[in-house]
Amino acid sequence: MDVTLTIDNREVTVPAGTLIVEAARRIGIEIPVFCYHPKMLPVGMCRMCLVTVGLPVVNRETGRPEVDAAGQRVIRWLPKPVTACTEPVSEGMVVITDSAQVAADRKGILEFLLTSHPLDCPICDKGGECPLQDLTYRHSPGVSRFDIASKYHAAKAYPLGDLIVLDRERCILCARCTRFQQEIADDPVLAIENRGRDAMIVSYSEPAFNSHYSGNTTDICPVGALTTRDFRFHARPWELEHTASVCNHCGVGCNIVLDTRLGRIVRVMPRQNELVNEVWICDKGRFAHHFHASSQRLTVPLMRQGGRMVEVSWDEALQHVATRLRAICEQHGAEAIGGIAGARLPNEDLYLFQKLLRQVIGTPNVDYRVGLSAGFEDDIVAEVGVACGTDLGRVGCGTAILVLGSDLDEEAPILYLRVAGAARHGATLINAGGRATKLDQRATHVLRYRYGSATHLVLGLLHVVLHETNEQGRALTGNEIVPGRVRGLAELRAHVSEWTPERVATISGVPAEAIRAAAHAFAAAQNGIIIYGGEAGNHPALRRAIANLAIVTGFVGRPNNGVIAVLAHANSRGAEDLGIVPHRLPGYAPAERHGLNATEMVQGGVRALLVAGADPFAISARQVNLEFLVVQELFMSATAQQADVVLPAVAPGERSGSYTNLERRVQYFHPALLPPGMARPDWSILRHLAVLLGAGGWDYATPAAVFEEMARTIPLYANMSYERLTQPVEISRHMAHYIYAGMSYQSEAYEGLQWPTLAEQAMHTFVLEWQAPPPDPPTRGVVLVAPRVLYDGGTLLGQTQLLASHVVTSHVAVSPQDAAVWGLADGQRVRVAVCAREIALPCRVNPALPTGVIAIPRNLANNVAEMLLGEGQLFSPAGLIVEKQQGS
Amino acid sequence: MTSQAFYEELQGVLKKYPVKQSAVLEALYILQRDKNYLSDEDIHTAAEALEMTVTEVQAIVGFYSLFRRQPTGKYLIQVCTDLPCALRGADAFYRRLCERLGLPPEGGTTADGLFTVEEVVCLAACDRAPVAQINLQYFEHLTDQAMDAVIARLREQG
Amino acid sequence: MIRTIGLGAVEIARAMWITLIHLLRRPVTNQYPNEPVAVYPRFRGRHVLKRYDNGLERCIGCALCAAACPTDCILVIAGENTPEARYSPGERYGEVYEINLLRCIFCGYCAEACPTEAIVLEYDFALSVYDRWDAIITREQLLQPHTPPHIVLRDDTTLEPNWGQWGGVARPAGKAEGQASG
Repeated sequence: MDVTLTIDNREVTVPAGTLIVEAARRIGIEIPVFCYHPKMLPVGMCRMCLVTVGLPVVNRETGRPEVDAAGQRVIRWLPKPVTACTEPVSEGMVVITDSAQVAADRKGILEFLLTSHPLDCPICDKGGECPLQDLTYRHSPGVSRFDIASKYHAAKAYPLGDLIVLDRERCILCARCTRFQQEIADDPVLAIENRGRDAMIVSYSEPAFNSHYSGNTTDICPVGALTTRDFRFHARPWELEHTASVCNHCGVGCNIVLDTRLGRIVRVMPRQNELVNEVWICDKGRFAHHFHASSQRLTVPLMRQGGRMVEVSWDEALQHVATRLRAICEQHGAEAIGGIAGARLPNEDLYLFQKLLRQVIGTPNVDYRVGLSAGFEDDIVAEVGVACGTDLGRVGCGTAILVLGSDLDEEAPILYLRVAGAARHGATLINAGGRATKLDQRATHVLRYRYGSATHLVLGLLHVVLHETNEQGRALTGNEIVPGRVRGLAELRAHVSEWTPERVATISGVPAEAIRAAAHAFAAAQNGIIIYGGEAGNHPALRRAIANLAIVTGFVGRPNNGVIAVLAHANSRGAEDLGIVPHRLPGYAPAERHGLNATEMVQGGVRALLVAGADPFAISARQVNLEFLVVQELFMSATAQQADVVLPAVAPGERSGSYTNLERRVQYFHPALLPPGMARPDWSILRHLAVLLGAGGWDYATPAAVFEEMARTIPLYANMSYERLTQPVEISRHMAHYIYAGMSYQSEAYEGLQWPTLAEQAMHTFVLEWQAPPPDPPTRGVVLVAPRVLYDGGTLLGQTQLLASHVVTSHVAVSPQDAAVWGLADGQRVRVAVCAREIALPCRVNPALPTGVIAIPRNLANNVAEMLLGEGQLFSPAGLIVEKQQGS
Repeated sequence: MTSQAFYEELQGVLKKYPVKQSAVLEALYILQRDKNYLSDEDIHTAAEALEMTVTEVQAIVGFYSLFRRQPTGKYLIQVCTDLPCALRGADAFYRRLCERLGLPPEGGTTADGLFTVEEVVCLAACDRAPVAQINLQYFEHLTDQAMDAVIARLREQG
Repeated sequence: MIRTIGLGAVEIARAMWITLIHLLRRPVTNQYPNEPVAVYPRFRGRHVLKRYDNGLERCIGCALCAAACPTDCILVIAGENTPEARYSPGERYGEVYEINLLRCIFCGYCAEACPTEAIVLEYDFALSVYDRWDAIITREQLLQPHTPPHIVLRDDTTLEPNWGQWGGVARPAGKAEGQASG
């Protein structure tokens, strides 16, 4: 329902429930605020938004508004000013924001705020983009009646954790930071302590300000009270150059701005994209940019000559690579050559990489699944992925989200914020996982399955959906699916009939009633989203079961419906799309000839290996058994150290390109810096190599030319171009004013483009294929799990000193019950042995783990988990030995 | 108070509230009751029992002046010395009280740990000043002799 | 003919007389650099970074001088004071402070923008260098008290601004020595 009101003699019609401050912004009237933030609930703490409000007088007899002699409505003015940020509009309301009274109110509030605010704007990081500074210039009385000598003094440069610095003098107690931590980040580790003048922001968590989202509080802080350690004193805001970019640390694809000064990135700020990251980014994305400026970057091509790496020219290096590849190809055939590309490379590079190997060299051996990407792939999203137009930031009541085997807070932090936000707004959230995760606190249903039984759990859910009816006696299957478009429903129903919740309960350990309740809640929703991650195990039957569940519930092909796979790297989705796997060509076309996968290649399946942006030999157990190894890298990684030729590549901030995020959104990023030394972008290296190998038509001058070819040849990318990816988004969707966005400039805003899934095609026929689940996991014994953590031992993250203390050190996490049984305490060494491999690590008691599960995070220094389990294995089979190491 | 006893008492308290966190004030009151102040350990106990973060509990403790974070004597004597009371001699009365208990003018806790004297602003009893609040009990129209008698009686009680 | 010669002689004699008189007068030419040049008090020459009496630098690295500079000839990179290495009062100091004197137009906006009166345009105008790079003067050079022997302040108080109008109490924008701003 809409409501019409008058603000400063201008009529505006807005939906009922809109706050006055938002209604005013809609017609371009700015009401100054400090504490109000459109992403959070209003509190009315700062009183800056005071306005005069009048309501129409209604005649009690007629029920109509009274009019005076002149025919004007009679207005009853409220006796005191009203905070525009907490007051919703009502029909006929009259608001005045430009009267002398309102101006006097603002003067008074600012005069009070400034009694305790220091005048150190010249040294304040916020100076120049500070709402308090700007609003003081605009609305303050100019002089204060308070004595400067009696100004309040408090701790300056108080470390609130090691990333955020608090200046207690500057804080105006608007509580934006504490509310962000409470309402949005779900980490209530900030609070206001004490009262009156003694009130201050504190954090007593261990370590202080323990949150993955702490940097966002510095963006929304309306004064310079919260600043980051990283940006501290590095530049004044007006000295910065801004480049629109996309974060490359996980698959969410947060839009960011690289703020550079003197050719270096000095800070990373979120760039608004309501469909991806709203206005937030995680601390890894914000602070882990230092790899760009690392002194250890490779800048010159290196070639092994007589056992030593020698600096050579590009011509020499590339000629050598081409000669050797040609020789090996002639001698052993093209199959003797393979290629491994990291999923952190942009689309253009990945496309050329597979094109070089498949078309120029003629080998099917292409893979990206090494490191974090190992052992986890996704082939169902192309059919049943979330449909175009999905916006997790707007779903709420009526939507069900099933999170399966993913710790979103660690694996895809901003996706966590959006899923938790949906749950906060009424969405049904089912969190199914092998251990307690942070998302549990927002979940309406928590299903704690035994590791290895995720597939059985999904079959249990399928059983309920296909065999049970709801309270009204209606089937749980979705009626959006036209029966003619689904094949194999009867067969699937017959197959899952034996997977009753009771049977699944004995296998998975999840109570049958919980499975039933979750399935009913999931199927009852109008929209459903399934988010699955690596901890569910990556059995093909699991992926099939998830796709089947999405199809039979009808949660496919419509916006806010479908599946999201939480893949590891920034462009893992793009790698899947572009066929950087041995069995698929770009655009999910099946390959005629299946090549070797990454594991087979590094174990000696090929004689020559091209590696770009990946580190397949990081696991020290692996021996390099190759005739020829070429590595395109930023750093001298473990693989590069073994290489015959090392080619210096450029980092994402130094080039343009595009990433495809988890929701299949292709997003373009601009170059912000110059590459160091002689480094070249990967696509350019591949192009030169192809030309030297005699390929024709490889005359791409820019990534745009590569993308143009992708759009022409791959149906998924049809209709896409850099122009369309960088289509500016209409400003009305944005919180235009920097007061809300934390910076002094209006950053460019693009939404990117999603490619449509098969389910969105009107004529697509869904085939409900049946795949038998993997064998039941053992119900006894200990399981070793290798979960992903945000601050792991990754190559890029390791270059940021600031986050060094946050990086997880190698340890074994043990549940308190098991620790008691084994007599373990924090820090004691544990011996873990599996399949003739063993390791001794310090123990960390972690109450999030269930009994019988121990965890060693993936991708830590020395890759201990990968050494024990084998790369790509997320949890151990039976036969695990855990014991306290003697003498510790 | 042992944590065992605390958890037992808390179970009864929790029944009164729809969500655990609502019981935070009562839980803190139970923890403070016996020794008159909340130690760091108590804050952690409350946070753990009520599934809150330490920061949240600490913020609540900081907000309410009746929760004390420093070791306090068995008897907390609060004397108002604000203007109306001072006009009736409360400030001099307070200074003399500190002197007689051997405390510095800003108050503090006696060596035997029995009394803590504190200057406060307004006890809402200006008309009966000098006034002292001893562990939530009011003593009005005080003179030095009357106060000495009260202190002697409390000393006897130990 | 004789008359012409006579007139000529007179003219020569008059000219020589002027020459003769000027020989006896004080010369107006300044024998720079053998003799110092006197400049007026508000002359704007080479910059100097000032210190407080206690030796701490006035510059807080706020870069407002660089922001005010119309030719963008000032580069400031700020650093953070630590208890072990304290350069200025407060938290921040100018770690790098460079002025490109080839670009500078000596307008004095930097000094006007400075909130701590750290950067001041003083009297040195002899700024020739043998190498272009030497025209970029660094923080270390700027912090040295710079009193070149060939320049003196003109001893002419009539051109001084009349501070009396400020009541003789304090100079405008004056701050207690050695205090942090704000």
